[in-house]
Amino acid sequence: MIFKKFTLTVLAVTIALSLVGMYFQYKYQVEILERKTALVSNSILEELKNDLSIISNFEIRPYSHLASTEFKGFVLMDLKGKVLHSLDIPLKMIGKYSNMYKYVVLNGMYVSPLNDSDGSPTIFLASNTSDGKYIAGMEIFLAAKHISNAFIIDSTGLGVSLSGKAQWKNMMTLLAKRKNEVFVRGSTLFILKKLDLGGYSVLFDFSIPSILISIFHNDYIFWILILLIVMIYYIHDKATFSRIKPLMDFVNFMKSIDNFKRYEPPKSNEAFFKYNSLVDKSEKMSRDYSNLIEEMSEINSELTQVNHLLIEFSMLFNEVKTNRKDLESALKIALRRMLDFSRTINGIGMRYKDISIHFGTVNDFNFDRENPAKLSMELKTDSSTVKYVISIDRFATAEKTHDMVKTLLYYITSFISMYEMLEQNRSSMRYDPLTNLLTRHEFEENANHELVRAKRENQFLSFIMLNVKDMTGFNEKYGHLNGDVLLKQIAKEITMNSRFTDLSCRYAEDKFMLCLIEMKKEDALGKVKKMISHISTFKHRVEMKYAIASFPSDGEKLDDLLIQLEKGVKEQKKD
Amino acid sequence: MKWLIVLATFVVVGTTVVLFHTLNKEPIVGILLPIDRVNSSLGSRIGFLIALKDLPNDVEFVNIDYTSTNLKKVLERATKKGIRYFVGDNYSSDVSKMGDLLIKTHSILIESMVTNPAVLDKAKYAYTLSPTDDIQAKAIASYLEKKGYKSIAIVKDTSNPEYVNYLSEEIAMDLKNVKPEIVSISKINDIKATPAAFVLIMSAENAVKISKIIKSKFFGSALIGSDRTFNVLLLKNFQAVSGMIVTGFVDTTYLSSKFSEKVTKSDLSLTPRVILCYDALKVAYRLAKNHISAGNSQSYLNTHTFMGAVGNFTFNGKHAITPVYFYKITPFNFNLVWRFGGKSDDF
Repeated sequence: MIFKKFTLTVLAVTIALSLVGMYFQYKYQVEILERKTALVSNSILEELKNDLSIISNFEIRPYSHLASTEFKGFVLMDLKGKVLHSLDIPLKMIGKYSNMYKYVVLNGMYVSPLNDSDGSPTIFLASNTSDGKYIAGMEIFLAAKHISNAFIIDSTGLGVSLSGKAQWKNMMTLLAKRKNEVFVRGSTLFILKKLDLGGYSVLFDFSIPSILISIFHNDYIFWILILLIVMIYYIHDKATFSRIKPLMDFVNFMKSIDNFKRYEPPKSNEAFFKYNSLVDKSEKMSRDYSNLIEEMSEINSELTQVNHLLIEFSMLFNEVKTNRKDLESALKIALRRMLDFSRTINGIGMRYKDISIHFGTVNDFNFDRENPAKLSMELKTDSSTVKYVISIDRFATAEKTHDMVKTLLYYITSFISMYEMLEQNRSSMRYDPLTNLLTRHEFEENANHELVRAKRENQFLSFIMLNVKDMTGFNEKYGHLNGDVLLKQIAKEITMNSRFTDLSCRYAEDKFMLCLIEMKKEDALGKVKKMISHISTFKHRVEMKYAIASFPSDGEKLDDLLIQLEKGVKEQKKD
Repeated sequence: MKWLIVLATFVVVGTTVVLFHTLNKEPIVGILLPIDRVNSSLGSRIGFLIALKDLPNDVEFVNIDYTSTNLKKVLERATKKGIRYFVGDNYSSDVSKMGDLLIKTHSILIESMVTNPAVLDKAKYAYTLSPTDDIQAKAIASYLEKKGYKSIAIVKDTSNPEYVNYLSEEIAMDLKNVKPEIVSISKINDIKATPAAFVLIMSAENAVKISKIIKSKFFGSALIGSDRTFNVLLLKNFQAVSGMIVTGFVDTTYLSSKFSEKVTKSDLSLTPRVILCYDALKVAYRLAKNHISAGNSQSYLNTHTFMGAVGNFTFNGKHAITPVYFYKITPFNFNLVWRFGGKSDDF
């Protein structure tokens, strides 16, 4: 018994020691490799920083010695992007529209991705000069480090060997999918060091079998010892062990109570069952608690996102209000942002008047027929309704997320309402409410545009001023109601007798104006006579006066033409 | 006897584990990138890298590097390893080299910017994210007719004969009311009467050179450039090409701000190629994740909607249904003025 216990203890201690030894050996090996990697990456980083400082101090001379690198060419530009001097640098890399100029202005310096210059890897570095007056750039050859298992990788995942031979390799999958600095792919151990400059990294690869062989080689005495102990243990009688088994079970159970973990007894009984169900309940509570914490943190981050979106939406809608963006584009951008808001939203769409927008799994069909898998909402605006359809993962989404999505939709709808009122106001400012013709201000603005166009294209333009003779007398005689009917009748005649491109307005209380595009004075006279003959058929007697002025014969400016027209109407009154 | 049972158990368990591992192995997508033209593949690398960072880990991705001479061998080696989904930003000539092998190994290739319809028809399981040249020709012809140009000259260079000849002939065929004059870049001086519009089918460098000549000789003619002229070089030479309209396949208006942030954070530039490569890798991922076979690939692509960086898109036959955009060159930017295809033809 004592022998068995002793053997087991020795075996356990030996295994533990060898495992601990292996672990530390492994850590030590990785540490050595990491130190080696750091050394190389630091030296490259130092070289690049050194080159950048040379550039910023503008000490580029064609034959100067630059640490361990050689340079291919250089460029000097002013702060507006104009190239002052350049030597052996491709045109696409320099100038106002180059990445170099853009990022030096933005960050004060620029480090390009790897470039293949006739088979040799180069990097383009640029910086503001220390006096702040220029932008200087230099293309350098990457110095060979004569290390066969190392690559320098740029921010796009392109790598080139540091051995000195220009061996290119794409490593974007390694760069994108790795989680740690040290990682294993297949039978290779990779160590990746970021350079903190231009997104560059240095990658080393080491064969895992060779690392393991070296570890086993150092620990072989332990393994021989373990083998010996196992052999001794196997030879010993097993009966002794079976005698102490019940006692061992009891000890195990007591230990499980200490840790409050499930205990699987050799023979089940009620006491063990109750104990185990208590353990299960406790574990369930612990799981629920951690789930709750996780859900709360998710809601918290979503709330922050909602705040960002609300700020972004208000800026976006402000652009619509100031006519810098149209409503449809703004709504498209807003809905696209909402789709990015939560990974549980698979699609989103809206239909408002003629505007129909949908992204992701929502399509036109979903607006016409209800789909229980998709959330539909119909919200009223000031004068219309907006229908929203959202494809949202109901099982994976917290109720709060639903509320947040609804809040955003209410915000968009309230903006549409505001937009409708704004449009209504704009329209009422443009048109005379009684006659539905343009207002005087609007007419003058458009007429000025037409005059400029007629002048440029060498075309005719005729203006007609119509005036109701003694409108005050008419109102007194037949009443204001009849007066309004008359004005509406005149407006109707003007609209019917003018083309789609012509302009017409209520110029004053009893005056109307017409701008006839590409029409000579003689044709305008025929038109006005036709209109007056129609107006004279009104149920009460009404007399009309008119005047015609044409561009360019009667004047080239709108003010001159208006004076002519006023004068013409006045003279006709006198007659 | 006891030992025999133990041995048999080991054999059965071992075989089950191997079989289970083989059947449940993650599908693999191979990213094809040339290492003999690393400078010109910058945009594709950025697009693929951003997509890789965005996509989950239920599909394995591997880089497959090739040179223009060993492409076929590299692809053959990859298919032997069990890779059946490929994505790339290759030239039409590269895709025509791969066509037979794709059919033989039942492998699918998603390309970002291959536009030659003849090449795509020949490579049975190859698809593209860009509109094909016949669609671009229709778009340019529609634009010219919409503008009502009465006389048109199509000027082509010699840099990519297959592309320039095909596109110029297709545009001429699609123009119903006008018979255009097709001239080579060297014979520009042979044009006697001033055409109302010039269509430039050439590289951006040549477009800049020829625009200077056209502006000095034919005053007032409109300039329209094909997709190959779409380059930042035009902005640098704004004086020479002011007012020119160029076609492109991507509209970045609805691009998510997170996407552009990812590009600018690494001091890189956002180009249409970046976006098309991003979308191409996402399409390849969907096919691989759903274990779509080469035989079913076309029907799957044609009946599903894909969410790209700038909006949803679907496939029609061998190419994605994306509009052809027309941009006007301003002193600072390319301004979108019209689009052909997609939701509405009138912009």
